Amino acid sequence: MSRNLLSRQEVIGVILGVVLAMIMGGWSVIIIAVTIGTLIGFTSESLRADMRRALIVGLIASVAVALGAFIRNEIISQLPGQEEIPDSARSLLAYGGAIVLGTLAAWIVASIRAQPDDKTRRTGTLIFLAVCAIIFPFFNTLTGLDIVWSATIIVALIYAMQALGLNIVAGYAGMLDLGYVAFFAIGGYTAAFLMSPQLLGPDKANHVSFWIVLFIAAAIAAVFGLILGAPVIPLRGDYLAIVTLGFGEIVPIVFRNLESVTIVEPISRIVTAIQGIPEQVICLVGCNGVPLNLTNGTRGLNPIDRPVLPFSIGPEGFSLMPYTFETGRYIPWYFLILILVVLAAFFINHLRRSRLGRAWVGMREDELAASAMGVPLVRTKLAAFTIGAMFSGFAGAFYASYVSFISPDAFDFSISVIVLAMVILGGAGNIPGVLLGALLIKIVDPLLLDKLQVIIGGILNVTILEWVQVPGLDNFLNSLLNPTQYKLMLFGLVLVVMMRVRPQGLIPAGIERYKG
Amino acid sequence: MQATFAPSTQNKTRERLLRLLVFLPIVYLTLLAGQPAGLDLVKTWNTIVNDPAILLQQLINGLANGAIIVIIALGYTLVYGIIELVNFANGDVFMLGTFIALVAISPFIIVRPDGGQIAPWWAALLGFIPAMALCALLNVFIERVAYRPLRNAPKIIALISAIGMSFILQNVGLQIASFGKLPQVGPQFEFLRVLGTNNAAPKSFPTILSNDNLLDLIFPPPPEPAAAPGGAAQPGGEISPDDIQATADAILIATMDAEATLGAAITPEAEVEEGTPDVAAAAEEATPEVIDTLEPTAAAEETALVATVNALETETAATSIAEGTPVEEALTEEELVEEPTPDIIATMQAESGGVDPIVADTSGSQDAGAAQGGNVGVKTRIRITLKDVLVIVVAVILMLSLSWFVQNTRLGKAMRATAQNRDAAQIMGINIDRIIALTFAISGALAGAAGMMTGLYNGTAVFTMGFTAGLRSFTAAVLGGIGNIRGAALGGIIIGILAAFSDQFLSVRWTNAWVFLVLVLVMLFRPTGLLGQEGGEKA
Repeated sequence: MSRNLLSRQEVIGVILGVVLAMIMGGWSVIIIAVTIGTLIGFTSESLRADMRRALIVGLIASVAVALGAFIRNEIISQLPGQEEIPDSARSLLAYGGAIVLGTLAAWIVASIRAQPDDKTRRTGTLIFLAVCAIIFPFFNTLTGLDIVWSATIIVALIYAMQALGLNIVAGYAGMLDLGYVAFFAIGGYTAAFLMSPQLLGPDKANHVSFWIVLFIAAAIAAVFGLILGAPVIPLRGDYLAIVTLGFGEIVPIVFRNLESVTIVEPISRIVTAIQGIPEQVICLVGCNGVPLNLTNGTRGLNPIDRPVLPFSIGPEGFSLMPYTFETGRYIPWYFLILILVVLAAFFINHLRRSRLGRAWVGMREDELAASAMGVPLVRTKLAAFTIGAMFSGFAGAFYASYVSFISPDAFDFSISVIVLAMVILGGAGNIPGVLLGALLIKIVDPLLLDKLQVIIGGILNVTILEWVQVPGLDNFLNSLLNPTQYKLMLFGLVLVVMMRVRPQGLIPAGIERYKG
Repeated sequence: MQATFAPSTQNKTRERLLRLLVFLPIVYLTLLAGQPAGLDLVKTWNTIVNDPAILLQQLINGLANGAIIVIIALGYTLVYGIIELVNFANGDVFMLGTFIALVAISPFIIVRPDGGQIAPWWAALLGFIPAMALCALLNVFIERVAYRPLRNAPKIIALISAIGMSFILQNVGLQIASFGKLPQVGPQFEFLRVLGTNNAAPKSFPTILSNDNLLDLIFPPPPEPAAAPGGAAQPGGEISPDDIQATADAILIATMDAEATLGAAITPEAEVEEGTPDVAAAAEEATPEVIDTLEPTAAAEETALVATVNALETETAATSIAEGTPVEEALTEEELVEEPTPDIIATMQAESGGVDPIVADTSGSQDAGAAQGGNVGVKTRIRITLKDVLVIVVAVILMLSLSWFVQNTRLGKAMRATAQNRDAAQIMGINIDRIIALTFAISGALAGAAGMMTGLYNGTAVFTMGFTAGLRSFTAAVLGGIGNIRGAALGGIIIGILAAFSDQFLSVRWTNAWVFLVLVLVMLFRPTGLLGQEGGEKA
């Protein structure tokens, strides 16, 4: 093994970082550099025991990233229609900071990984990640990047929560659930029912507090996980997938169409109709000519209350004034979802190591053998569905409050597939993999594609359209080569390519590592 | 739970009683909970009693739509029979087939003075050929790229790959319409004009076959009642507000469906997050009265949509109901912007022949509904048009040819052998790769044919129709017994009729849910399907 050349993973990491920097530019260079440095520290085997090499490779990567940002800041900005990059972001402070911090990150991670003791390694990693995670939103707000990065990461973490839940069903228990969005919708709508004017009136005093709603939504989602999971117990493989897909389609349809509900008692309806006195039917819901508007159809429910903290932490320090979360102030949201995801991860990890977790994995590997060894199949499967749905409920409630608006159009089959793609990309059956998959997909999609579109538009304008003065060609090319229109293809490709190349995911679960 | 000894009569009666005891509450609950979904037995009964021809008409519509579903279901069943994989991408191949058919017949489109588009009848036949051929090739390509490498992998992996492929094809369908901008570049691209200028909007087919009622030839129609607005094309009744509402509903459904898939798939959070929190934040600070009037972006679009639909209903719904054709493109296209979601609604109003054919069957139910005119009391006149006949005839031809091919030719025998036992077939000298490729080719050709048939019958192409059509067809295949050609036929007919009845007697918005419910029930209680042979569950 030649130790002088960069390993394949390192090269991929560097290229990724450079491309990202070339698209984003500005202060993002620091974030990108630190991330790439961390990834290099984690994934490069060759760095494990060699601090000096870690320093060198980290330095190379960080310089490359800084160069990429330079290209974006100076060269690409010249193209027409590009987003402005403020001067402070193109300063030596930015580049220098990127290089220094990126190298530092690689070195720290490598030195943590070089520790002989497993426990020290784990603790060290967690502390490092925690520090990064805590500094991250403050850095964003400071540099004005919070609209870009903090917002994206918050959404990514919402999906990460769902991915954790789906990981239980599909990763641990091996049941391919294609209708996972149904639980997301149920959690979201439960939160909306309890926190919006639709059912409980406009007076916020009548609404339920977010903190309670969070758990209620999760519980209701769990109950539906039970209800929707029960029928699919005898099914396996394809059939399970299709049926769950059906459920995933039915639920948003139900929510979409419950805007004028009138329910009468069926027997009385038939009886009164026969006797020719239809008006005397026993009406249960939505009577007196005013049908009940439960979900407001496609118009959705809004506004949905935000969480309220009994204290505030501001520039003046700690005070006992209540603080309501607001749009645009990303830091509280960020920490809230971060804490939720971390707690979820710990909980699920604990579950995985428990008897239930082992039952899941055993059931996934060989149902018959597991059953023969005393694993109660029905209970185990139901547990997987229920607990998996619960996390989706959490995510749904948070989402409803974060966006303060909920509509059935947001709960589409494509979301189920996106979450599935996250689980598969990262590595089904293991938590770090799933989180990585979630972050990767949910960062690429909103950030890269939009900005890439602007850049490609600029390039087109300057190159082809200058040379080929054909009318209407710009319209055509801009439409055909618009990256934001290729999101479906992106997810599809992730699925197809991953299945061909690396079905166990980027970070394979422990068992697969042994299988080889 | 079955007793191994002969059950005594006592046990039997008790068992029957128990079944009844469980069955009755379920029926009651269904009657109760099904009401928001449009389930109203009394209303249905009244409708049928008042106008029994509606039942027959919906039967015919269901048969015609079912014919298309049968063809696609055949594709699913063939592939499943041979490699035990649910080819998710089949529905999307069908959707691409529709687009191909549209482009293929576009050189022959004649624009009428009033703005409507027609094409000669033989253009339809011409449309079949490229649609079937290209879809066959496409399917073979998909198999080669996405499924063959995974042939020995666990089925789940192939299934996930199929889902991915489906998404890729949907995106292709979306972006294909970009080529609709090429006519601006030069006249040699004129034939692409049919693709329209907004990628996500539905594209309309020209009218190929007339909508004249064939029964008129056999039984001359009775003289029109004096109150009728007149016009030879009218089926013979006034248009009641219910029918207008039904059309408005249908258009609304199509736009909502397309917008839903788009809105979530293309811009899942961007619109909702960036648009609404500001509004919601403003709403928080605003006074109660302002809150009522303040609506988030999406909801504002919704009101615009409803308003446009209301405007539409008076002008165009009348004509469309009368003629039974998709709303003519005489409506001007508004300023088109590339962002699919908000402006989609405007443009879909403009091109609003745009009823997702599988979602809401315009030609059929509108005719029946139009003539129903409950208030006026004029009975439905059953319409059987050339379109209905042709679609059913083509479906029957395709099915019979397929059946003959599989039963009576060497290749067909090889297919059957491969389906029964792949390894044994290989040992006997059958080239598995080629046979599987052949199966996919046939399946693709069928999907392409279905695409042309849909263009003929429903007249619309939109990139999301593959998903719905695929799911309905797969339900049909499973209902009939997957892996079974006759089963697919039976299942398709049942699902087609079920969908037609649901559209008419329940509610258009809920038809998809009812179809999926059927799927779930079949999977639970009879996974082998009605005519099924092999074990439905896979180990």
